[in-house]
Amino acid sequence: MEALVYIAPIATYFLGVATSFWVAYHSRTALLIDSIVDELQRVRDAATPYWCRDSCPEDGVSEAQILGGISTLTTFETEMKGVLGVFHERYSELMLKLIDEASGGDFQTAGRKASFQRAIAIERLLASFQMHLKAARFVEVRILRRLATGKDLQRILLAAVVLATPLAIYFARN
Amino acid sequence: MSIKTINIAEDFSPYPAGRDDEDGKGFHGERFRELFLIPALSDPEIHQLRVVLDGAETLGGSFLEEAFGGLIRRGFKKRDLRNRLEIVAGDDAYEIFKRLTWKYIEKAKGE
Repeated sequence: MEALVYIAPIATYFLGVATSFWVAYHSRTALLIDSIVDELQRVRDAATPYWCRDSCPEDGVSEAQILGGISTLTTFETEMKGVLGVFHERYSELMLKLIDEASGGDFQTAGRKASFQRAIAIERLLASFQMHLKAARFVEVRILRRLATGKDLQRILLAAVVLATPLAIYFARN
Repeated sequence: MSIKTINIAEDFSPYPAGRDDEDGKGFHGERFRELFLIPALSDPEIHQLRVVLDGAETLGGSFLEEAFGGLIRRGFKKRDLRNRLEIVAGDDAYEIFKRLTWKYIEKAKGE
């Protein structure tokens, strides 16, 4: 029991550090995902009306909004790899299709005709995207996903070994 | 035998747009293909062509399809392009455009 007097403050310290790290990590990840969902919404708001009408003088504004949105989304790429782990592949696949649908075909061409097929494809893609990302906001799901990559599992095992070693030494001596 | 590098943003424009002259946009895909890609790929002294995407602010699907997919329509073989053309995306943000470019090359049909 005497040992607890020494161990308890150390354990509390590590628990506090781990909790703070966890809260900061969770907030940052949630913020990142929310930013991407917002940016996707902006791309959708510009792309769907754009593909539902023939070319017109307002196209320049929509094209700038679509390309600007795509460009912003791609700048999150490095961080998203870390956040989504093995599920980043699906995210990346959706992003590729979105860029193709929103800015491919007759995009930025003078005689562009409305393409409802493209507009519907964009709507579907955006719905899939948002479901995929919102699911990733759930901490438990994300832990499981990241554990699947193996990297975090190694870190958790290492932390467990580091924390358990002093206890093991104490009990072995007594 | 040499390697030629073309940087879209520095050598062509940081704001490439559209497909061809009819679009009224100066830095379109057809122009990039005709002025940069075809001369380099037609030069027997150049055994590898590197196209750097980094820095381009407005890469759209239509520009990439016209520039690179258009090579197939102009008679270049996909196998040759796989061997001689290297699309460079140094930054992760451009990796998706690199994949999209190869997708357009693979999907394009010769005329």
